[in-house]
Order: sequence, then C-alpha cells, then structure tokens
Amino acid sequence: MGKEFFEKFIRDNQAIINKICRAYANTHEEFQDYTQEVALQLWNSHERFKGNAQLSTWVYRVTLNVCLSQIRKKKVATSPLIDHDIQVEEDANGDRLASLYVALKKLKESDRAIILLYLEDKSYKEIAQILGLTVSNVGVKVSRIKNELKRIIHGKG
Amino acid sequence: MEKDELKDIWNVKGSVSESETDMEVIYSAKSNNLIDKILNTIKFEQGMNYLIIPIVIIAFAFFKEYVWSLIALILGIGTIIYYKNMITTLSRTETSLSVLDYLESSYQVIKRFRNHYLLIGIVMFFVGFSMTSSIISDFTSGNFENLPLSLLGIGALIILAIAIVYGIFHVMYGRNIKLLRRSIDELKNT
Repeated sequence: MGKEFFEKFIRDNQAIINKICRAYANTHEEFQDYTQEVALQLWNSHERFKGNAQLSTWVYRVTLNVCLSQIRKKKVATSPLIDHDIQVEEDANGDRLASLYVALKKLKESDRAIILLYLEDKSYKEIAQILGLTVSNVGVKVSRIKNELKRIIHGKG
Repeated sequence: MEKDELKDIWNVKGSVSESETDMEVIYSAKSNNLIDKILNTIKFEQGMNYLIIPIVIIAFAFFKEYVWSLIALILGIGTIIYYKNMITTLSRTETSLSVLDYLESSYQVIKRFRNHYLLIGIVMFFVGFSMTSSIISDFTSGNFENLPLSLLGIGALIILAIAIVYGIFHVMYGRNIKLLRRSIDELKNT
C-alpha cells in the first residue's frame, strides 16, 4: 500500500476511527492522540496485513486496541467530550447522539467495545472475530449491554 | 440484524465531523502505544549493551585481568541474547491481533518487563555491592567472623531493591496493568 493509497484508505475510514475514538476519549487532546495513534499503527502494520481478514475488521481491531491500551492522562470519568472538532447536529437527533455518547462512557470499557461494534452494524460473527470471543458469548453480552445502555439513556441508570 | 433505537441514534448523518488526520504528521510521529514505548526502551538498552560490554571486556584485558575479561565476555553474550529474545517477543505483539489476544499479550509484556527490571535491579545491586563491600575480601582472606551479619545485611538490601523496583514500576505502569487485567477479565466473563 503506497502513501497515496494509504491516505485515501484513512480518509475512507476516518469516520469509523473518529466515532470509536470519541467513545473512549475524555478530552479533545485524548481524542487527537487516539486518532493519530490509530493512523500510525495502521501505517506501521499495513505491510504485514495479509488480507486474511477484511480491511474493516483490521481497522476496528487496531482502533479498539489503541483505545483500550493507550497510556491515558488522568481519567475524568464520564465527562463528555465537548469540542469544536467533534460536532453533532444542532437538533434533537444531535442531542440524542450526545446523550448516547455520555451513556456509552458510563459503560465498562470492554462493554463499550462490544456495543460500538453492534452499533456499527457488525454481525455477531464479525464482532467475535474482532474481539476474539465466541459468537454465543457476544450474543449474551450484546443483549445485556443494550438493556444497560437503554436504562442509562432513559435515566434509570 | 434488526434496526433498533440505539442504531438509529448512532447513525445520525454527520454525527462526527470529518476532522482528518494530518498524514504528514503521522509519517514522522512517534508511537505513544504502551508496547511500542516498552520496545523502544529495551532497544535503547540493547544499544547501550553493544557499546558498554566491549568496553568492559577490553578494559579488563588491558589491565591483564583475563579471567574477569572472559567472565564479562560470557555474561555479555548472555545479556545480548536475552535482550534479542525479549525484543523478538515484544515485536510479535501487534495492534492487529484480536482485541482479547492483544490485551492478553500486552499484559504479559508488561509483566515480563517488570521481571526484566527486577532482574536488572538485583544484578546491578550485586555489582554495586561487590564493588564496595568488604565481604568479598573477607571471603578471600578466610575471615568468616562477620559473615552472618553481612548475609543478613545483603538479604535486607535485596528486599529493599525488590521493593524499590516494584515501587517504581507501580508508579509507571501500575494503572495500565490494572486496566488491562480488568478489561481482559470483563471480556472473558459474560
């Protein structure tokens, strides 16, 4: 993958990377650190990518691995990321999405990874492949996390 | 998979602005990844080994301490092989592994790194101790009168060395190792 192709590849996947990193970053600086680290890890490992997995699977794996293992600055629990670089639509949908992000940050980090993949419309099989879990385990977890997330959003959590 | 309320919210168009990563920054950036940082530290130490070990061997030979020169050579080769193996193992931990494998692998790397520093701490302690202590001259001159007290002192200092290494390690990586362990356990448990 040459530089030009890689840059297009990053542009094509930027929205996915941004969405996941936003769910883990507590500050704008963290968000920038995460997205930059993801791009760097993708660049460093792209020559070793053998094509034995889908490109999107590779992107999700690298992004989640970076977000879950990155050396973090002091954590500010559940504080929403408010920044001019990450904007939601200034309407009811935007408000609901902002609430969803706040709710996501109240979940355990590993649960967040599972539900993010579910929200990205990945099948249980794909989620299992990305995370290294069994399909049945994913099914049980998704169901539990969805209920927990709805409870938080509707103010019962 | 059925559409649901959460997915509807998630898929709001333009939900996250398309702020693009500056690729020129990426090509020259240094990784902030935990494993990469540890790997770089070990590589730096290996570089120092290549520099210092030959100097020590040559210095002993220069002062006609051939036995010590040979010992330094053997220990030096052992050290370099140990570092080489460590670098090979760490390099295998790629962010493209499945999330669970990557977290497990990262956790093992940090534990290995901690043991590595513990080993270095104890070796450095013995080197420093043997250079400054009279215990070796007592041994060679057959003076065993103060031996029990000296051994007690060594024991206490080893415990102190281990505590210091663990303390430093805890400050540097304690939070990360705890977070990794927690994420692994959470992913494994339903």
